[in-house]
Amino acid sequence: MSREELILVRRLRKLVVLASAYSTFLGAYITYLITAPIYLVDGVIKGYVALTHHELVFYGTPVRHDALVSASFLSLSILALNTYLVFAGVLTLYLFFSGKNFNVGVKWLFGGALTLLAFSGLLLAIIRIVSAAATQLSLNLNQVTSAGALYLGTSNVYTVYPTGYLLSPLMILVVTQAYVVLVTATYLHMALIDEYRLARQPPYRETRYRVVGS
Amino acid sequence: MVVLAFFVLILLSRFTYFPVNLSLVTGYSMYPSLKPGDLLVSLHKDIIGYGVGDVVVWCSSPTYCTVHRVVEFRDSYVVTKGDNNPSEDPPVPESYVRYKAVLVIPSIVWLPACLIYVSLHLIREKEKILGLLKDFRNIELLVFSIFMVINLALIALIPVHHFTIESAITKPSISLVSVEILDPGSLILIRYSTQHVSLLSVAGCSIEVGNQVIKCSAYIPASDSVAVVVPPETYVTAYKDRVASLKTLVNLTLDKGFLVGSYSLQILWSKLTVSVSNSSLVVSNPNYIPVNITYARITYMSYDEKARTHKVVQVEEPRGFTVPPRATYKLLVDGRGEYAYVMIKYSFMGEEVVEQRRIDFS
Repeated sequence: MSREELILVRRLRKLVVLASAYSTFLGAYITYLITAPIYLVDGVIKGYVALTHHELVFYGTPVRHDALVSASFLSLSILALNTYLVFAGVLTLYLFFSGKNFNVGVKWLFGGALTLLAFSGLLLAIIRIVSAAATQLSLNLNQVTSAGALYLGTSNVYTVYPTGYLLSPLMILVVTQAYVVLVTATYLHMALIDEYRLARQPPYRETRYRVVGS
Repeated sequence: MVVLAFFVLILLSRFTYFPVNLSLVTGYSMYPSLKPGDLLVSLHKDIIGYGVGDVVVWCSSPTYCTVHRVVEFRDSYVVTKGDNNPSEDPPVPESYVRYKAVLVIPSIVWLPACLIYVSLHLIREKEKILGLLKDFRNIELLVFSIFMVINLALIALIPVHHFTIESAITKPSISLVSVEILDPGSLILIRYSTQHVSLLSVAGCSIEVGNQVIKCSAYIPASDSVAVVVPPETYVTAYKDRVASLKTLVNLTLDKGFLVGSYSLQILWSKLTVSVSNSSLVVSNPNYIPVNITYARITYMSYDEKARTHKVVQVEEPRGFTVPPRATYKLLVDGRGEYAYVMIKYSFMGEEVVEQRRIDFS
C-alpha cells in the first residue's frame, strides 16, 4: 500500500465516522425542526404551527387551515428522508465499529446526500408556505360599527426560539450543504481507494469490483 | 415508468393545458363531500363546463390551487366556498377556474389498490430488484430514485391550497338596530343585531347631559338589547340647561370581548297640548318631566235669552295640579251653566304660558 493510499484510508475512516454521525444528527435535527412548533399564536386565535402539524383554535372552534394541511402532507417526504438519514447513519456506524464492510453504508449515505440536495429546495418551499400562512393568523378583530367601538381582540404570531430561527433558509442551506460536502468527500475517498486497489491487481480490466474491507 | 409518466403528465396539468387533473384532497374545507386523502379526478372546464353547485379546481398559480364549490357568478368573477367553511372565498377571476371535479375516489379505495399494485409489481420484478440491491454500485441511485418518485408524486398530487383566514373563521360583529326612549322616559332601550357574539353584562353606564355626566344603571332584558334605567334627575337637568339631546354611554361585556357604545337621543321640549274632550279639559304633557299647572280658573257662563247677554254663573279656582311626564291629565268641568272658560297657567322654559279653552255643555 502506497503512502498516499494509506493517508486516504486513514482519512476515509475519520470521514466515515464523521459523516455517519452527522447523518444521524442531521436526520434527528431536521425531524425536530419540522415537528416542533415554529410559530406560536396568541390572542383570539390560539395555538401553534409546526411544519408537520398545527393546532389552532378561534374562540374554542378549531381552525382548519388548508394551506398548512397541504404543507403537512408535503413535509411527509422530508420526514421519511430524515428517518432514512438516521438509519443510514446508525447502520454505517455499526458496520464501521463492528469491522464489517462499511462501503455499503457510505453508498447509503451518499444516496441520502443526493436526495437531501434535492429536498432542501422542497424544505425551503414548505417553510415559505408555512410562513406565509402564519402571517395570516395575525388578526385584528377590533372594529367600529354602528353599535360603537367593538373590542374583540387581536391575535399575534410569535416565532418560537430556537426552532423558528434554526429553520431560516441560511441555516437550512448551511447544515444540508455541509452534509452533502462531507458525504461527497467520504464517497470520493472511498472511490479513490477502490481505484488504488484495482490498479494494484493486474490485469486491471479483469478485476472484479471490490470494496474496502471486503 | 408508466406511473412516473402519469405523475409527470398530472404535474404538467398545473402548468399548462391538460384535459385531466388529479388532486389529493388534504384539507377539511370540503368535508364531508371530500375527505382528506380522497383522490379527485377533474376534467378541464373547456371540455365539460361548470356552473353553480359544481366543485371546481381553481389555481392562482401552478402551486396554489383550491378545490371548492361554486356558489355564485359575479360579472366575470366566480365566488366559491368550501362546504365546511363558514364564509365564502374572495371572488376569483373566471380564468382561474381550470377543472371541474367529476369523480372522487375515496382513500379506502385507491390507497389499498395502489399498495396491491406496488406489491404485485415488486413480486413480479423480485429478481431484478434483488439484483439491483445486491449491486452496490447502484444503491445510491436507487435511494435517490425512490425518494424522488415519492417526492414527485406528493408534489404532483398535493396542490397548496389558496387560503384566506376570513373564509375559515366567522368574525363576530354587532350593529345597532335602534335606540329609543320608552314612555314615560325612565328607560332607554338599545337594540342590536348580533352575529356570533352574545351580550353578557353591562360593565358601565352613564348619560351625558350637556356638560354633566350622570351615572345610570342598565340591564339586558333580551339577548340582543340593553335597557338603560334613566335617573330622574337626567331630564330635570336637561330641562334646566335647555339641552335638546342627551348621550347614553354603555360599556357592555360580550362573550368575545366588549363594546363601548355612545348613542345620542333628541329631546324635543314642547309646550303642553291642551284640548277639550266632552266636559273635560285634556292637558297632555309630551315632555319627560312633570309640568306643574300653577294656576287654574273655571268660569261658568250662561246665556240670557231675554237680555241677550252672557253672564258669569260662577268662577272656580281649583288647586294647581301636576301633569306627569308623557301623560295626560283630565280636568273635569261639571255642567254649571251652558258653557265654561277654563284657563290654566304654567311655566315653560322660563316663560309663563297661559292656555284658555271654552267647553260647551250642551
